[in-house]
Amino acid sequence: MPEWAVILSICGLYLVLVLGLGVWSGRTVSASVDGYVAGDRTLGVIVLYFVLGASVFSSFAFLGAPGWAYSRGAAAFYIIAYGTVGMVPFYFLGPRARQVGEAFGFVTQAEMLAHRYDSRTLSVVLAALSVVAFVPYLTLQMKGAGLLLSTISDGVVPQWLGALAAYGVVLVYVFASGMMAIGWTNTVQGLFMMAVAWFLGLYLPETLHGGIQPMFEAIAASDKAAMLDVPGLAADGSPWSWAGYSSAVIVSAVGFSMWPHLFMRAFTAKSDRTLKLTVVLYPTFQLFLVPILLIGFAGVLAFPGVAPPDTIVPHLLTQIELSPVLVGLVCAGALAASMSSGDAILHAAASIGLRDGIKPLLAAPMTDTRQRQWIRGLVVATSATAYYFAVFSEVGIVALLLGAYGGVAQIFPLVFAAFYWPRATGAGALAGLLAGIGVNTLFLVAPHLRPFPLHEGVYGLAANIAVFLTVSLLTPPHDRDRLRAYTHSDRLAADETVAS
Amino acid sequence: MDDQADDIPQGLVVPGLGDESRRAALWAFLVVSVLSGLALVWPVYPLAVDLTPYVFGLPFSFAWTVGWLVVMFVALVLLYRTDAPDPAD
Repeated sequence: MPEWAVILSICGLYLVLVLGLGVWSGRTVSASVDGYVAGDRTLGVIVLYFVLGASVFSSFAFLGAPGWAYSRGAAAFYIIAYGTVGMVPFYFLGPRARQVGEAFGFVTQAEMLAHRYDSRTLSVVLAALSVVAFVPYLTLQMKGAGLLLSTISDGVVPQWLGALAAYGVVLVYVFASGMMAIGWTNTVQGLFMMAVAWFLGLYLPETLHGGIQPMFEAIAASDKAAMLDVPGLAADGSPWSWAGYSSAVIVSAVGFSMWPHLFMRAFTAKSDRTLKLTVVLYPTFQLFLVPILLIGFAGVLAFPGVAPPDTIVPHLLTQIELSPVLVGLVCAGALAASMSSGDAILHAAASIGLRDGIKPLLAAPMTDTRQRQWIRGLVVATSATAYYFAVFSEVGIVALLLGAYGGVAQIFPLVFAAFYWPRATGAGALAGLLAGIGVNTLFLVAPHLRPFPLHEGVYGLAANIAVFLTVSLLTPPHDRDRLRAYTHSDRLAADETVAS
Repeated sequence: MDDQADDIPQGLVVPGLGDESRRAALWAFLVVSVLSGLALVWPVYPLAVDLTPYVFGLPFSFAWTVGWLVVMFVALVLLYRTDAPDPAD
């Protein structure tokens, strides 16, 4: 059997395993929206840990992050830096969200905010923002999977087929089992990708340079030494500015816990304690970014000139002498990274699209069964859209995704104020969010207009907070009954009416 | 607090500050969080960007970033231990 056939067989086995696990896992939850979207609010620490970890570390972790280290050097430290404090707000906000979610039956972030701020418009705006962020995100995951399988098979499996195979599996298990499939597959995928990352991150520097320190010393002694000068290089190869690095860390840290597919996992936790413990343990997951970056650094001197830099990992795998079985396992690990984010995003996009985008616009209430049918329909439609962009379209997806990061950070003031600032009003929230997104988008498309070379999200946040504060104080506050659940969690009465 | 409609506070409301030891724990945690945030951006991080000394083979600037991740982990563990147990568990 030729090497690529061994590698592909292992990837194929992995896909079959994940498919089986995903479909099987759905049998324990109720056939309801709560079951499909929030896993009946029963998730424990281990599953939740991997769901939060794997949802965030996507194919970007296996392809993009080593690509950053490979081409931009110390700039890649930014990826570890923002995660250091990025998850901390979730320790406080997550349990509060979980409590009101349980009391009122919320399963998405926008549902909660729309209730707190008494605004359907807000829900629709948040749904639109989520979908605009999710489709390119999912597209990149599919592209990553396709790229990996085609590089590793020497082109025997074309990119369209690789993406189709991996995401066909994702589509089936998300369609069948919803949240439970994501929980259980992400646990297996997370373990797998962590093992692979640590193996490669320690093995490659050792075999190519004789160790980690010798590797960095060799880079520092070469003509590429400039890349180790913090904050590294910008995308065009010139030194990155401190203002650019610092503001990118801040915006990403603020937005980190606000990603709607991550935030809505608060509603899946079985208790506050579970959710808090998950956040506490989270940094142990993030440590796996260290070997991930080492993989990228290992390629700098050994294989110069790989373009685009995102392909450095598959390139390394085809160049080094490694048994095809190991290469197969590594590829499956990288596929796991892509699919474990892809499934979460797909599931969130469909759930949010229905609950926050379509349902508030309809006059008549929808039955639970009807809602699940709609969500499943949207799962198929979202996959098809992302697949179209991944395979047939040449639209600049990466730019759209970078813009979305600044956009997602704009949700932070709304969530924070929902629990800690009773005076915040719906008009203020909506005006602040729109101002933030507007300013962020303006400086994204016209970067030369920025007064200082800071990340556009910083300007967005400044505008957002200023408008949010001003409009809130100028409009009448919401009545106490609505606010009580948010500001006084201990007063959450069991007889609260369920939000429609 | 009584239930009058006009007593909605203008400022921030943070629950759990009534208990003194809880308040101290939250303050300490906040200080550590802000410190680690500052340590990773300008103007503090530029003071720590030397290549040497190497720590576990990593350049100092790299190890510094990872080190603050570990600090936050320890801070979260300590905060978690001061939290009252949840009756639901």
